[in-house]
Amino acid sequence: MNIREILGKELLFLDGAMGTQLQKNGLQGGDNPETWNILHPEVLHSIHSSYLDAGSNLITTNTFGCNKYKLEGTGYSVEEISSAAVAIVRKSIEEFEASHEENRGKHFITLDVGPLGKLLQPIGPLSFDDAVEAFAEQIKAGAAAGADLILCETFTDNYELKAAILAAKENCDLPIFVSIAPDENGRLLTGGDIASVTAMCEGLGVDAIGMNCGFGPKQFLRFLPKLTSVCETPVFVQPNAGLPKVINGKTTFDVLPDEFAEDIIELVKGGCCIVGGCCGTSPDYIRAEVKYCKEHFTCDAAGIIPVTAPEKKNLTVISSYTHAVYFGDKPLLIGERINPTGKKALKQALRDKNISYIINEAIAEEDAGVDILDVNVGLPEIDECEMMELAIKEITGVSALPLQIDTSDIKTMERALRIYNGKPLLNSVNGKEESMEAVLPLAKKYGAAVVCLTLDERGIPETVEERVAIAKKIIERAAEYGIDKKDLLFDSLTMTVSTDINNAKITLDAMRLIRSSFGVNTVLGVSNVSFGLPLRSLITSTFFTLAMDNGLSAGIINPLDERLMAAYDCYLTLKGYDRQCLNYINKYNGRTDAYSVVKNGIVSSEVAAAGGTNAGTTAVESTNQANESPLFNAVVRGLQEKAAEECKKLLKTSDPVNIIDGNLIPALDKVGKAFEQKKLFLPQLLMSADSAKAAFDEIKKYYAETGKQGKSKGTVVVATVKGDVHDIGKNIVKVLLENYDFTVIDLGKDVPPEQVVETVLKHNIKLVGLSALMTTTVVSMEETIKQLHEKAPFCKIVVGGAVLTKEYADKIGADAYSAEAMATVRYANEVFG
Amino acid sequence: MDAKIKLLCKKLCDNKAEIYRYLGYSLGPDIGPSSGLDPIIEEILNRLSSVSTAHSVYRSFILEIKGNTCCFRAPESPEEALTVDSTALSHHLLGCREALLFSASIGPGADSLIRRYAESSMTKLAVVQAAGAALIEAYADMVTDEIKETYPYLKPRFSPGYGDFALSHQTDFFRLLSLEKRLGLSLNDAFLMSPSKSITAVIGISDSADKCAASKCAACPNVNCEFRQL
Repeated sequence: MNIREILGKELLFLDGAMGTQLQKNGLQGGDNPETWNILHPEVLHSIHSSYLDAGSNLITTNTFGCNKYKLEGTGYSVEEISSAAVAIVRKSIEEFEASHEENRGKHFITLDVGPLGKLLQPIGPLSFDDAVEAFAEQIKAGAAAGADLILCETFTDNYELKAAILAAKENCDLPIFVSIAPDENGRLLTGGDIASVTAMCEGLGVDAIGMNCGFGPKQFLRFLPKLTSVCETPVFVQPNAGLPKVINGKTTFDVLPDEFAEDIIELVKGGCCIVGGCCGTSPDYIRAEVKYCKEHFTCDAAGIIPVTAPEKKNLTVISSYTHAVYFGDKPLLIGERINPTGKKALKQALRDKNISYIINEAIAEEDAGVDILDVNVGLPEIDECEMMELAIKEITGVSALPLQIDTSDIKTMERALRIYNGKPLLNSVNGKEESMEAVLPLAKKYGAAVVCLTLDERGIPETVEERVAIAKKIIERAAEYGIDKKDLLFDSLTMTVSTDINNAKITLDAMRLIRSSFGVNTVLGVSNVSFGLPLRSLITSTFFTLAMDNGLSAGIINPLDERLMAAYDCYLTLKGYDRQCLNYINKYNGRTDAYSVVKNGIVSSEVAAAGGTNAGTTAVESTNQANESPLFNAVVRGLQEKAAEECKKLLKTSDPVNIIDGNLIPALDKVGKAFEQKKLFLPQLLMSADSAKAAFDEIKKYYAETGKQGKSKGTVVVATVKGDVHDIGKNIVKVLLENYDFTVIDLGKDVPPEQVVETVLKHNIKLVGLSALMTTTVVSMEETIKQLHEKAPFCKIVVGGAVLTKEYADKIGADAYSAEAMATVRYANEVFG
Repeated sequence: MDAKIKLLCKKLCDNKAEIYRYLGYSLGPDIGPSSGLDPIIEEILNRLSSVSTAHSVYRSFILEIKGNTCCFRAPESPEEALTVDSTALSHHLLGCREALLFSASIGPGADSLIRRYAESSMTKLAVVQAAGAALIEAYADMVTDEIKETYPYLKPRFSPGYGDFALSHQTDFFRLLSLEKRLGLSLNDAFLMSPSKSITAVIGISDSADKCAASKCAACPNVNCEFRQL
């Protein structure tokens, strides 16, 4: 029998702890438990048999750590252990069923898959692909040996769980059960909540979702409603026997079988279709569970306790690695700024692989209040697939918002869907047969929600009815691929109103009709509507309001357009989404002009925090002289916004070089000197550095607009050495050097010596700055210096970092030692002076 | 949101001295932090409060000190052991017959903020580093206080890297406390932890309140350290 036939219909029992039982049988701390499948099969046989005897239906193999990383050094392969482990369970089940006629076929070999024991990037060393590969090896071996289902349990990282599920989907057709071990706040160690994990796992099509380990049954009762409120998949729980306590050197648990079983009844009432036990439990706990359940719930003649699977909830959801985002009620915002169409600066950034530009766009969009970030990096002259992967990794490194993967390149699409940490939104499929054939299977496999454009081979239809018909066609085709319409979001396509006066009306009517006829969610990119008209944002924002009122679930918008955001804020307030108008009041109280807050692309919170309130830096302020310019003063006082504004003014009358040499550098000199004299401290120096940077950004913009070129004072390479992950010092040095008009090539942190040498040779660099914070990594610094002296003797090396001293710097062969960031600037001036 | 983190962030917000210290301020009578900094610290604490999660683990070991060598042995499985050659640690633990291996982390959220500000604001980058450091220390103090209900006399935390307690002993903490699994920590080849706002430490258990040896900073040979607290 396939477990799918009874899953969610009959109450099933998993088994209990394996580790606890092995320890009882003599497993010592430090022993590898999986080797016991081969060394002590009789012990495993007796454990499995006693769980069968207690009433367990799902018997887990002793393979929690049966992967190549954890088996390293045991002398056994993943295959050897897997097949031995599965064979023992099979034998135990066969023997049990031979003497228990009535339960024949209701026992399942459950392949236990635990985390790999190495963490995934960016926290740990393991790449996503390596993780999938390691899980694949284990699952392939277990499936080949004859497992009936896969149980991925005790996961504490969303991303690792995704790797395991994909490995299972790609290597067998067995049912997949997944179980997370949440912390006391109901979150994974990497930050995910129950809703986000559920969204991803259901998207990927797992058969059951559960929780195990960490807590006793009472604590899981607290989390269960969170899971059942968002989950359509059968749910299971395997609690510990309470919480662990060490008494007389022995770990014991504080909940006994009867109390445990009483709580299990509550878990079943709360919606669990399968129950079992984790650490500290034994066959006695399972026996009590089965007994209590049979007494409490009505059984049929065969002793089966009927259960019902969770009801369909029809939730349209996507997720990031921390949280889920639901569509359908309050309209959501999708930030459109990471899309090169019509954006010169972003195009250049993509060509230059200037990831920092993209990250800053993401941060600005998040700070402006979007719910989802659209990521489109398609340019004909770059490797889109590679760039997309890089962009996704870097953006998710700084923002926890879910992403809308926006590409028409199928290879890029698949890669992006694969490596994305969560349930993505995919943009897009359309009514063309070719598009549906290519995109829908990918959406199904990787569990994405999909934006569906209402166009097909004939183009964009001019009538409402035809667009609705395309939507219907896509819904039907998606169903053939097993994609529910709740995972489809329809875009009825915004057309320019200046070319046909009916365009906006058709779009809105089609959207409303699609939403009401099919009960699906909708998205629209709104800005197209105003193309060719004056004061575009006026038309766009009004259209946006109309769209929201006609059933728009999410608008793809530029969140730095204040007029658009104002329209959104007003809509939420008027439609009752802004309780007590608090958001509106907070944002607009005290303003006289609704649209005046955002200047120069810097978001308002930034202004409030770093700008006007900085009344400090008194040590410097008192020495102001009459001839110092407003820009000079803005930098000295650390007023970021003001510095940008004053620089912009100066650029109308002065040459950039004069602005830099006459204002920025003297201001930084002054602050730097006060810093060195300890008249002010690091944060003030940094506020000034950030202000000078804001001014520099204006100069860069000026160069870009006028086509003029600045002349850098010289190029410096900076890097935190191999092994070291501390880079704040290096980053400060970088910004200061840039402020002094040096060009900086920042190699980042954990940089191998070879990479430094290669960069120096390639760009003929005269000065390298190396940073190391730990005694253990100064060794890498020494090695880097050695290689540089050997292969690039023309290059000077300045070093810095907490553990270094002048003497030590001399000893390892550095040309200069910099106790703090300003000293590096002075040395650079010497080298290039 | 993590209730413990929320509480600690509030405390750090009410009294910012610890964060100022990490930012390099020596709080003399004349020189205080500029008022412009406070709103930034508050913004950062707000963010840290919403992205951080507090987790900790500790385990008691039987301790034997012979000369400069400290031997830790797990009472429940004697083969799980750790030997440390360190004058500083053996001096610090003098008189203890038991010790805890301890680890705590505020999770990966702070590192995400650090990456964010490395790209957008040096000021906030410095503040998030300082506030993150203050937060993990405050959390470790909170847990230590909880442990004091079981073991009332605890010596100050002493971490690998202090004095001559070699950083390479980080691997032992990972092995004996299962830090990958329990706290989601990872160790690189240079023995640095990720997430970066994480702590490992030995905490000596004493029978009485007397004879507390020199603590963290006093044991450290880097007498010119800006952060030295004596």
